[in-house]
This record gives sequence, structure tokens and C-alpha cells, in this order.
Amino acid sequence: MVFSSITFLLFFIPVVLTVFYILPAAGRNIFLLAASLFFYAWGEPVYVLLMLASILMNYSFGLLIERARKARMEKGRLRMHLGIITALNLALLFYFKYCNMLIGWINTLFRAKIPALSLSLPIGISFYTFQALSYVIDVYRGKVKAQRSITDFGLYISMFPQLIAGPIVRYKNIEEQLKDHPVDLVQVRLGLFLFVKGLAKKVLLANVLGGLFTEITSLPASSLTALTAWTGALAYSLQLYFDFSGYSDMAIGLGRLLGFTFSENFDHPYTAVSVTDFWRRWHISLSSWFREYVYIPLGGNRVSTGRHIRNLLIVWMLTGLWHGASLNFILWGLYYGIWLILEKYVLGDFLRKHRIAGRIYTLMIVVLGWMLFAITDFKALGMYLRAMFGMGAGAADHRSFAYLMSYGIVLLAGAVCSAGWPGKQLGTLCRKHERVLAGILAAAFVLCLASLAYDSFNPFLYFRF
Amino acid sequence: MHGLSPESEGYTNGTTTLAWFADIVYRGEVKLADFISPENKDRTEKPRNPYAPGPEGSVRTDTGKTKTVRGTSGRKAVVRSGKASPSKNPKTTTAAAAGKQKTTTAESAGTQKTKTAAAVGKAKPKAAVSADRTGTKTAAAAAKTKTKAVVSADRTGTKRPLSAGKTQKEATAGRAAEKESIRTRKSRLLLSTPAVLLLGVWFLYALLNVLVPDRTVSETEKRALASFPEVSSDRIVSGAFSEDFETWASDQLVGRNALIRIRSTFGLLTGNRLSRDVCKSGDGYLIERMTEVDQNRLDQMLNAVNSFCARTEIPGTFVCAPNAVSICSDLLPASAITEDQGTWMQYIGNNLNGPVFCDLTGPLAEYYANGGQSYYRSDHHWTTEAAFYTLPTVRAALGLDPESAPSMTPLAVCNDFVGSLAAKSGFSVSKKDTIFIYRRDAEPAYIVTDPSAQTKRATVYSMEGLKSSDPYTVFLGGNTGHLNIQTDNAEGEKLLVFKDSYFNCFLPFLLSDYREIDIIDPRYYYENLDELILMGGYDRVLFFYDLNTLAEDTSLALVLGTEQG
Repeated sequence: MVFSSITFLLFFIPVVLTVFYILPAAGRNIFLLAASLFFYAWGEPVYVLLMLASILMNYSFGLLIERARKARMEKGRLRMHLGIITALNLALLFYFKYCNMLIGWINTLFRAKIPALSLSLPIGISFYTFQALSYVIDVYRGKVKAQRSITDFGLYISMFPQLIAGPIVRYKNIEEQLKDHPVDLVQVRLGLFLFVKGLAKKVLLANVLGGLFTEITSLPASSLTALTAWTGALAYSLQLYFDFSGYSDMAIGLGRLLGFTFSENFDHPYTAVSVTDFWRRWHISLSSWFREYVYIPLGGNRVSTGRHIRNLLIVWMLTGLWHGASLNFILWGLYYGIWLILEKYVLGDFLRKHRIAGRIYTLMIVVLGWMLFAITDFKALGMYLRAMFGMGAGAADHRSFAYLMSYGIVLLAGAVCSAGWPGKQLGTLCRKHERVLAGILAAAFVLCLASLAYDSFNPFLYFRF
Repeated sequence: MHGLSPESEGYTNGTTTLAWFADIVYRGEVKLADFISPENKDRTEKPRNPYAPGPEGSVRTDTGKTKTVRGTSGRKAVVRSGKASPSKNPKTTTAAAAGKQKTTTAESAGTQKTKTAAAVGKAKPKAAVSADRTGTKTAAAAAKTKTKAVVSADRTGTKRPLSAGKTQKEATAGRAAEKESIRTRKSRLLLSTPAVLLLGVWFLYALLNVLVPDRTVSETEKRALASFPEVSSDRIVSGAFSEDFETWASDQLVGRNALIRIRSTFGLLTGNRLSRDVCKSGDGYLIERMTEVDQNRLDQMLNAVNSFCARTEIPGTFVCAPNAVSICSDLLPASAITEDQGTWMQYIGNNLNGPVFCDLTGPLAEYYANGGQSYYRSDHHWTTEAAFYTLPTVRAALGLDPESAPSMTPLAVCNDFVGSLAAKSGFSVSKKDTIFIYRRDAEPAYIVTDPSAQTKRATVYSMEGLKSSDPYTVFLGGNTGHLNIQTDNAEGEKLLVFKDSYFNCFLPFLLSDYREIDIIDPRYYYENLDELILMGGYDRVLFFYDLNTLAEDTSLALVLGTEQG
């Protein structure tokens, strides 16, 4: 089930929330687990079993590792336990997501003819696998207590707000909340506000801009002028941001409506002053997961320069790989790895002193990076980039201006909404005129419903993760 | 209100407003009641559990808790049962926290109130405050309808008797405190009412969608609406059920047409005049743009036509009409992006070597330039009047004698025609059109046979079509695979026509010129064409298309190309 669908908005949520608010606190977790499993099974009727297997597996190993720790099992054997469960989790992820990519590479490199697996990717597997890994690793480190109740653990892995597209919630952030997550009207207000805000971002901004990008990329790249190509790049950058951050907002808002507090996943990334700053604001839960469980164990930055660079490259290659099973994603990750290394060792001081130049530089790097992310085929990517720099069909033509006329307002709205200060103004409005805000939210919700009525099917961009 | 902005709280650029907002509420530094009126700033916000016993000798109040003095830093959330709340997860004060512990401090209601008033230093006259509160009370009463069970639970708590043995003064003070607490709860309730209202309306609408019976057909969209999908284990496992459920849910939305209209208006407001390839143009016109042409597909079709004419050796005429996007291009918005129909007409003309090519751009442009309406405002078809204006050109291409051209007069059959483009785009239509049919003084007699359906009619017009949701189907009753017309003109030739819907209104003009006409719409034709031609003995073959349909057509090549090589 997708958040921005009629099924979710008019069937799932009213039923689940009503029952949830009526139920006493004792029954709420079990009900939420059932609802989350139903939610997942709706989209993946077969792969729900895979997720259940993952839950069982990680639950048992969590208890096992904790018992072994308490029994002061020697480090080597304990580590082996951790190794087994990590390997199991990653094996599942590899099999369903990356196997075909590897087969393709082997076939190309060695002229083999291994047939590809006819598998579809289970929704959300990247997200829930990483959540499970964070749990077992933290149990191993002794940072959290293993969860005794399988329903509560199952709820942690499968909770429907963050199951499909994050944020990746680390177990230690939710450990206490699982025991007791009361909801009061403050939470309801915040949750509703966040949810409608996320829905509006997704449906009113991301989908429209996505349509523009699809239209531009369906044109032959040789006929693109620079202005059209840049309009497309801008459209994609904004689309991806609103799609993903909208979805995160919806997840966090839903969490609040259920009494949970998840930390923010996006913090106005397009206002970043450097690439380092950008990654502190974009998909925060993922970069902090990688920092906690890969970067720091590798030594982080407390090692020699050479090792440090190696650590950064490894982490960024994995980050790229996480986003997609294709070479362009790995290169995209490495692209950022290289810029981050440059910033740490070369550019850092300059950027600290020149913030405006830093913002422009960051936007350029990021927008170009998104093209590498968006276009999987290298030849097509090459042609698109050439068009962006005027080597396609020139600087501008009637078509470029036509796109700007049709989509200019939406692009401008997107640019404004991605900046920091409108949020602050909204906060001021929030403070003074709550009813006006409620009215705006209601209008936005109706408009979103109208858009969903207008186009019936509406897949979310990060769906395949 | 000073002190209530991110900067004054020391938040830096990077923190979002929401985090700040959440923080200050959770820290309890700002009372939720502040958001209604500054006067309520001093009010404490969390009620005690009215059913739990209070400390001996004190008057139970519902205003419960201590409040933190404004300006206290740190995460000193509202105290509960004497323990400081954990700093990790700020637990908010809960209205629905039945059975939770209450204040330890034994403060009497009256003193507490004055204490708070004094502590913050507000010197508001009591009268003004209570007047304000009555205001909030009535508003709360008005909004009462949408309150949840939580609320009524709170309310019932107020009705409990004072314990016996209290002095009169304390009793009065107690009652006053109770009233105070009711007002506090109501003002907190009012504060939250927009959110609760929103949720309530949302859930009511969801309920409405379930209760309202399904519609079967959409008039505006001219299609059947999805019905509830069948539940079967294969369909559930394959994922087809959930897809169909979503289709059903969005097709059966209450107020769906209004919602679609809202969305297309919103699109127009943002400057996008395009919706599903239909441009909202000047003078109330909806104009369908020409999308990118697949040149291979077009070439395949042209080759098929050429080889058909060569193979069958029947003299052919290929008539192609441009669409509104070409003729009425002055009405298009500046942001319209479309293929140039003129270029493609030329391309077709250059690549047709079998039949005679007849491009109707000239006469249609002329008709439009002279003030005629060449196309319908909300439909993709041309008007009958424009079609009639092109008749001499077509007759010439068909090799017919200009002298024997029929004289016909128009007759309006429909005055409120709203066509397919309105449905396709979702745009509203300001001006409706009139459909004309042309009649001779003396109509020829003819029989229309549908060989597949085995029906015969005596007219090419369809009254059911006229009354249906697509009045254009008055012409020929829509598109059929094969129709055969035999007229009373014994000297006329036998004509074979491959056509699309543009020919439907043109056909009546040719009825007096031919002995027999076989009309084939390749999109719906599944019979054996070779057999038809062998038995036919046709004197002429006519291809009659409009450019948009022709450029996207895949069926003509298939039907014609039965003999490859």
C-alpha cells in the first residue's frame, strides 16, 4: 500500500486510527503489528512471509546474543553469533536485490550465460533489513536490551509508517517508546500537520514535477536545449526531494498520531553550504546508520589519512549501492565520497568563509549528482549532460519557454518550499492563527484527494527499496 | 509574544521550525492555551485524575499540576507524581491519561490560582479574564459535536460531589476552582479542536465513501466505473486484487467529478494549460495537441497503403484532414508544445505513390479564416459544416463530376454538445456546440447493412446515438468494423472506404454518387479483407482519416497487409 493512495487515505487510516484510539494501551501494540502486517501484505502478499521470517530470525538471535553476553561468552564466539545473523540479513538483501546485478556483471565480463533470477524486489527490504541490523548490533554492543516480546519486536521491524520508505529508526531510539507511547491531542495536532504537509509535498509538488521530468527525458536527448535540460534537472532534484521528504514527513506524522516520536529525516538539504552539510540534512537516518555501523567501526576519522580516505570511499560506495542495484548508483555514491574527501582536506576552509559561494557550489554538485542518479544508462546520461552544457541543440528554444510557462509556478513553489525561511514563517502563522492553519491543511488535503482522483495510480519514487 | 521565536530561544539556522515548536511545547514553557489568547498564559494545563483521592484536607481541583515558570530553561516537563519525567523522551501531558498519578503538592485551588497569577506577574482584571473564558466556553460548546470519547470522559469527571465536611468558604472556592478547571479543559479542547475536527471530517468522508452505493457509469468520463473486485485467493496473491481495489476506490469516490474539476482548475491556476494532451485554448476551445510521431509506424502504414493499391489495382484516393491544432493554431496558448501538422501532411503526401493524395488543410483553413467554425469546441471532430465546405475538393480527388454535386441544407440536431475532449481533460466547458446534419431536398433511398451483426437500417443516422452520452454518434451510430450501403443509384460506382470517425459525418454527402459503399474501420475489422475485395469488384478505394488518428494508427497496416510480399 502506498501512502498517497485512496485505499490508504480513506480505508486503512480511518479504520486503524479509530480502532487504535479506542483500544486500551495494552492492546495497541498487537493491533498495530496486525495492521502493519496487513499493510505490507496488501502490497506484497507473498513477501510478507519473508518479512515474518526476518522478524523471527532477528528476534531469536537478539535473545541469543544477549544471553550469550550475560553468560560472558568469549568475544570470538559472541562475534561469530553476530556474524551469522548479519550474514543472514545481508544474504537475504543480496539475494533479492543485488543478485541479478551480479549475474549481469558476470555475464558481461566473462561472456557467461547465467540466467537472471525471475524475482521481484520485496518492498522496503532495504529499510527493514537495516533496522534489524541496527537492533542485533546494538544488542551485541550491549547498548539495548533484547526485546522479549515478539509482538513488540515485530512492531519495531514492520511498523507501517516507516516500513516502506524510512526513516530508518534505530532500535535504541524506540526501545522506551515501544513500552509506552501515549497519544495526546498535542501529538495529534503535530502528527496531522506533518502528515498533511508530507502528503501535499508528495502529491502536489513531487508528482507534478515528476511529470515534467518524464516528459523532458522522453524527448530525444539530441533535441534538448540547455534550458530544457536544466529545467529537467531542476525538476528532478525538486521531485526527488519532495517525494522522499514528503514520504518521511508522512511517516513521522503517522508515528506521532500513534504516539511515537521519530527523528527528522530531512532538514532543508538544499540550503546546505557544503556537500558535507548536505549529507547532514539529506536522508539523515541513512547517513547516521552508515556512520554508526560502518564508518565508526572501520575507524572513522581517527586513523591515518590514507585509512580515512579508504573508510570514506567504502562508506560512500555502500551508500550508493544501497540506493539501487546498478553501476550508476555506485558511481553516484563514489562521486559524493570524492567530494566529501576534497572538502575535508582541501576545500573545507574556503567553504566555511564563503557561505554564499558554498551554497551555489553545493547546489551545482547536487543537481549534477542527481542526473547520475536518475539516468541509469551511461550513454543517455552523457547525452543529457552534454545538452545541459549547450552541446545538445543550443541554448533555448520555444519548447524550453513553453515548459517554463507551464511549470514555472510549480518550480518556483518548489524552490520556495525547499528553502528554510518559509518553514519559520509557517511556524509564526501556526502560533498566531491555528484555525487558519487548519483551514490551509484541510484545503491541501482536499487538493491532494482531488489529484489522486485525477490520476489513479501513483507509485512512490523510492518504492523499490 | 516575546520570547516565542526560534532565534530568541537560541536556535540556530539549522533547526527546523517544527523541532523548535515541538520542543517548546514539550518543555512546557509555553502553555497550549497561549495559542488561543495571551490571557490564558497563566493557566495550568493538565487536569488531575478526578477520581483519584487527593491529599487529606485539600480541595480537589482539576487544575492539578505545577506549572513551570516561564523562562525556565531545560527540559523540566510538567511534573507528574513527584518524579521528574525522563529527559530522553519528553512525555507530553496526556488528556486521556486515565489512572495516572496526580500532583503531590497539596495546593488548594484558590491559592494556586493566585500564586500562578502572581508568579507570572500578569495583572489582568478578573472580569476580563472570565469574560474571555465564557467566550471560549461558547465556542467550545459550538464545536462540541466533533469531540471524541476522550473529551466526554473529561467532562463527566467534573460532576462529582464535594466531600462533606468542608467549610462553606472552601466549598465556594472549590466550586470556583472546578469551574476554572472546566474552562481550562475546554480551552485546551478548543485549542485542539481544529485537529480533531479535521480528523473527524476526514473519517466521516471515508465512512461516506463506504456507505454511498457504487455508481456504474460516469457520464462525464464516458466510461463504465469499476465495481468492487472479486475476492479470490489467486487474485490476492498475484496482487491483482489490491490494484483493482485501488481502481474501484478511486472510481467510486464521492464527489469524484468535483474533485477532478478542482484538480484541473488548480493545474490551470499554476499556469499549466495542458491536461492529458488537451490544451485549454482561447474562445472556449479545447484543442488536442499532436504528440510525437513514431516515424517507423507511419512508414509501415504508408507502405501498406501503397502496396495495397498496387496489388489490387483499384484507383485510390487518400484524404487526410488536419486537426484543430493546425487550423485553429491562433487559439493555442503560448505554452503549447505540439508537432507541426503541416510538416507531417507534406511527409505523407510525398510518400504516397499509390492513391491520389488530398490534403484538406486548404479548404479548412479557408473556412476558418472566413469565420466558420471548423471544429467543435470540446470534441476532437470537425464540424459538419466544415466537412461540407471541403466536399468539392474531395469530389475532385474522387474523380466525381462537379456538376452532380448535391445541394444540401443544414439542420441542427443537438444544441448542447459537449464532446470527448472535455471528458479526457477534465476541463470545464463554457460554450456548448451545435451538431448539424445536412439534408437534400430529395433524400436517396438506401439500406445500411451490418454484416457481422446481421442488421439492416434505412438511415445512416442514429437517434440512440444522438441521445447517448456522445451525441456525435448520431453519425453512423459510432464506429463499426464493416458497414455496407446499397443505394438506389444504379449507375453509380462501387466504393470501398477505410476510415476513422471523421468520415462518419462526411458519408451522407456521398450517398447519391455511388451504387454501393463498403465502409471499413480497421480498428474494429476482423473479417477477411481479401475475400471482400475478390467478391467486390470495387471501382475506387477511399482512405479518409484525420492526421492525429492517422499518425497513431496501428490497425490500417495490419488490415491491409494481409498479403505480404
